[in-house]
Amino acid sequence: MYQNIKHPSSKDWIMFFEQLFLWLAGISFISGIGFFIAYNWNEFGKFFKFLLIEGLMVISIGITLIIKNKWISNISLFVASFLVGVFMALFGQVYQTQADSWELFFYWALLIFPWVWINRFIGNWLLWFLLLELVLVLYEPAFNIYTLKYNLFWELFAFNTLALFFWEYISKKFDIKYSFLVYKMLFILSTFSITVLMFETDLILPISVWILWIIGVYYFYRIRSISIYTLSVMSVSIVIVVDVLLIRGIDKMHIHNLMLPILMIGLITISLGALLVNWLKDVSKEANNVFE
Amino acid sequence: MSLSDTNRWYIKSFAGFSGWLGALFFISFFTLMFGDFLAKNLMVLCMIGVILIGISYIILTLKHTVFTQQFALANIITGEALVIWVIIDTLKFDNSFWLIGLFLAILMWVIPCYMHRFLSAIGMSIAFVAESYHLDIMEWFLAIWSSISFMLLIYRYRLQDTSKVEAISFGMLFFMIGISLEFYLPFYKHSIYEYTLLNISFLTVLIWVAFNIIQQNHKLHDSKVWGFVILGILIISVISFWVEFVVLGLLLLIIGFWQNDKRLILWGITISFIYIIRYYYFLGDSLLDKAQILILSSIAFTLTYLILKKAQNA
Repeated sequence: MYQNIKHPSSKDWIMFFEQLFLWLAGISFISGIGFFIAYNWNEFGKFFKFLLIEGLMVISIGITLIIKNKWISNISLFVASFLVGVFMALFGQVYQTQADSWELFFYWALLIFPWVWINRFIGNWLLWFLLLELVLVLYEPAFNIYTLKYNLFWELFAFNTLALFFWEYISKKFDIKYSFLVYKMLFILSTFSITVLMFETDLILPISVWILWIIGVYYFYRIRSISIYTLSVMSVSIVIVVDVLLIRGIDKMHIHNLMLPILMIGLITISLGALLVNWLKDVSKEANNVFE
Repeated sequence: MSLSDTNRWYIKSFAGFSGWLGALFFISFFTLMFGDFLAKNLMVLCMIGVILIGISYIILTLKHTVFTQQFALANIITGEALVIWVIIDTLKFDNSFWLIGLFLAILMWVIPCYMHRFLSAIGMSIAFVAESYHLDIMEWFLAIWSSISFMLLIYRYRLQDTSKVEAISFGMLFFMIGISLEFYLPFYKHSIYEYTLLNISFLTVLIWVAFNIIQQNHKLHDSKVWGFVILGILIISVISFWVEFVVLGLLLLIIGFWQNDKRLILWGITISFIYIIRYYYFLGDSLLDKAQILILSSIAFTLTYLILKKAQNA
């Protein structure tokens, strides 16, 4: 009655605890130093603050260049990329540049791009894409040039869909490890944005784009290649959009007794869900013989 | 074709999602259908809920197609919602969360549906945390509840019908309990000694359970390793009275490694990082005290590492 799991041996346990204690020691020490610096922050002068951040940046870059271990050098460059942002935030705080918050993230993304491009480390790519997402989200209230309520979601959809194409191309070209992390993030955001747009008052444009998007996803991730994850996320969007359309349809018909229509929508949701799950499982079986 | 044919978590999650969405419409349907009548006849409402759960249980045990599973899931959730409504309406929040938690806990064990277990685990933890907050018995209640959850996790993992989705749901349970402990405990002005005592007793129970189960199942003869692990964690609990989150994180890391489950390990790492962030904003101590505690912890961890290394070489 037990699961067939490969449990670690005594030797594995010892190795695990050695690693665990070492990591905990390292994290506690770094956090302790960080807390200590935070405690004395107001006491430090401008010069010391800049020196501290720049010193840490130099050390991180130095480790990246000197240490041959790929993981250590990648993580060091990631820390350096992060410190660029910390440096810029500090600069803004000390000299009161009055810059909008999106500008910080935009110039941060711009400055670290050469490192991201050269290093090809997934952590750096994730940071870079997240910064650009933040730029988009923060841009709206700062400039107030968007008049339509759903414009942010249009922006996010366009950005994430284009970024997905870009990522598919470069991750394959440079053979970036763990590239699926960025891919999954971009695809989820793209799906989320286009699904939210279904709540817009005028449905013609969103629904047309959504249909094109579904066709595109099906073509790229079912016909040209197989990705069960992508098709599963797309299925979530299909169920939500069908429900939204049905509810809006009922609303337009001004039906007084909503009992039966609601029961019907519930049954349609479950039937559609079951249909899509069966389809996904068929594709999944096929994918086991191909790849994912 | 049943859902157990595939191990891909996103297909299972999608199946669960459409079941939950379907349940929302079913609940709306029942509300519109009976409306005022049911609000006045709570027994009838309760009976409908129980009947829905019963029928769904029979469907789940007899038929194993995707549609029947999702249909049954939607009906169970609807039935649960109706029964929960009756409980809240009858007891008016006096002991109602306790009863809801118990009700969900029983259903979690009876209903053979992993998505239902996932949802119930979350609902159950919310109900118990709400009840304990309401009754003013936060610390011990949550300590006991965490211990029970931990044992359930171990038990369910050993059963053949347990999936990784459930493991994640229990991970979430730990997570929520951890958050509750972090948020609520500081408001109870106990002394540092009480906190330390609580932590040590809490930790000892948890580590004892883990120690016994792992030893029994894997014939881990090198008890020295465990001795040092317990020692290391106890040192931390003595020097820091704010360790619940760390303990939960560490336990998830250990169980994750034991079960070769990367998801649990990821939970453990996430919880540990959240602890550090929360610790930074805790107003009970100055940043200087926190820095000292963390550096002391670092020294304790390094010493434990060195002792472990020396024992291994010897």
